[in-house]
Amino acid sequence: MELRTYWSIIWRRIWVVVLIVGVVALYAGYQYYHLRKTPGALKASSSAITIQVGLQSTTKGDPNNADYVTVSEALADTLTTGPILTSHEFDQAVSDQIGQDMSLIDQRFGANADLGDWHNTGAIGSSLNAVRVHSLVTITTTWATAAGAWAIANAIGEVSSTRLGTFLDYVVTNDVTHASTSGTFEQPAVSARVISSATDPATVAGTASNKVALLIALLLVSLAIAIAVTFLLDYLDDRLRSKEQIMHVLELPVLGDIPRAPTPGKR
Amino acid sequence: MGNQAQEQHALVTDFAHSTGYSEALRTFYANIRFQWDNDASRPARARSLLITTPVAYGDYAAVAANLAIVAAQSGAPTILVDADLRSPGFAQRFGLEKTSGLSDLLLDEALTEEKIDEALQSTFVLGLRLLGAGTPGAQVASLLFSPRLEQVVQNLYRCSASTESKNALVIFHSSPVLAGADASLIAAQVEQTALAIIANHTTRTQAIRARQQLQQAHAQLIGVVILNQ
Repeated sequence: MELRTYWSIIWRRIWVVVLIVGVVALYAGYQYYHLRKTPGALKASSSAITIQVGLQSTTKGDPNNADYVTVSEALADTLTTGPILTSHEFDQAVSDQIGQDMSLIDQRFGANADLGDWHNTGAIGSSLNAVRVHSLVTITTTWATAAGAWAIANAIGEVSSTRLGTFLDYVVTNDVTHASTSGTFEQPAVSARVISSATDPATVAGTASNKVALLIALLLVSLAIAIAVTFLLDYLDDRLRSKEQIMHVLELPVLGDIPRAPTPGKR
Repeated sequence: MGNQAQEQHALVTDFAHSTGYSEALRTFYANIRFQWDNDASRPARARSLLITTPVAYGDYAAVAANLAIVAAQSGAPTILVDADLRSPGFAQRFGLEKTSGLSDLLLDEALTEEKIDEALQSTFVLGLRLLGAGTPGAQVASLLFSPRLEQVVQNLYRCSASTESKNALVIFHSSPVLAGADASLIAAQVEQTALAIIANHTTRTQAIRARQQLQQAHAQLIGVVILNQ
C-alpha cells in the first residue's frame, strides 16, 4: 500500500484517533494539573550537609588510632546504608530539632516561611539520601519547599553532632557492662561533627518529575493505538470504497464513476 | 422537466450541461458505446443494457434514467424500461401518468407488437420513450418468469429503432440483484449488464454475490458503474 492509502484509511476514521487521543489527553492534562498543584512534585529544593563520623576517646585513652579509623568508616557506612536515617526515632528527633530551630529559620527565610509537612517523620525519612567517603557522610534532603529542605538538613547536622551515639553504636565483646553512652566510657563513644553546614537550597527535579515524560509517552502510545484501531476497523469494514478496490474484487472494468448529484441550478 | 417536487436530484436535465455529474454520465455512456463500436461483426439493430445493483441504497435508479437521457440527447433512439416491478418510479420521475406498462404486457396472453408500442410513453426528452412498470398487482414476484418477457424484449428492439439504427438503445432498470430473481431474469434476456456499486455502502460480499448471481443467469457483465452518494 502507498502512503496515500495509509493516510486515507486514517483520515476516513479520524474520529477514532480524535476520540482516543482526546480522552487520553484529558486524563494526562488532569494528571499534569495535579502535579503542578502538588508542591515538590515537579520541582523541589535540595540541601545537603556533610558530617564526619568518628569515635570519642575514652578517659583511659586508646593509642590504637588505626582501629579508630577502621571503626569510624564502618560506622559511617552503617549510617549511610542502614535504616537509621529512615527510622522513626531519628526522624522524630530531626522534626523536634526543627521545632527548636524556628527562630533561626525565621531569621534566614523570614517569618512564617513555608516548611512543608515537617511534622511528618515518614516524609522526612523518605526525603533523605546519604553517600559516604571514608568517614565523611553527606546527607541530602529533597523537599517540597526551600526553607523546609534547609531546615531538615540543618536539623540533621545538629541531631548528629549531639546525639548520634543514641542511634548508632557498636559492641565490644566480653564486656557486659559496656555502655558507650552511659558516661563511663569504658569504650570509645560514637560521635559526629559537622564538616559542612547545610547548603543553600537548590532547585532540583521533583519526586514526580519523571511522570511528565510518562504522560507524554502515554499520549504517544495512545496515538499509536488509535492508528492501529483505525486500521483494524478498516480491515473489518467490508464496504467497497475505491475504484481500484472495486476493480480488484469484481475483476470487471469500471465504465463510469458518477459523483453525487449537484443541487439543481448549480454548476 | 422532471418532477422536481418529488425528485429534487433525479434527472440530469435538471442540472447545468457542464456539471461534473453530467460529464460523468456522458463518459459512462461513451464507455458503453466504445464496446459496441469494437463489435463490428454484430448485425445492426438496437442494443439492450440492464443496470442493476446488489442491494438498494439511495436513488440508484437515477443512473439508468439519466443514462437514457444522455443517450437520447446524443441522438440514439432510446427506450427506458422500468422493470423494477416491486418499487416502480420512473413514470413519476418523468412526470407521466401511470398507464399500462411492463407488468400488463407480461400478463397479456394476446401480446402484439402494437400493444407494446402503445405502452411506450414519450417523455420530455426528444428520442426517449418510457415503458413504465405498469399496473401494480399481487403477482409482481413471479411476473418476470413469464415466457412473454423474451417476446417483450425482442419487440422493444424493433420499437426502439424503426430504421435499422445501430445506435438505438433499450435500457432496463431492475430491482436489486440480491432482492430476488428479477434482475437475473432480465439479465438473461438483455445483451449486456452493468453492475452499479454504491461507494462506501455496497460491501465486498454483496458485490461478489451479485456478480455470481448474474453469472449463473449467463448475464453478459460488461463492467461496473460507481455511484458516489
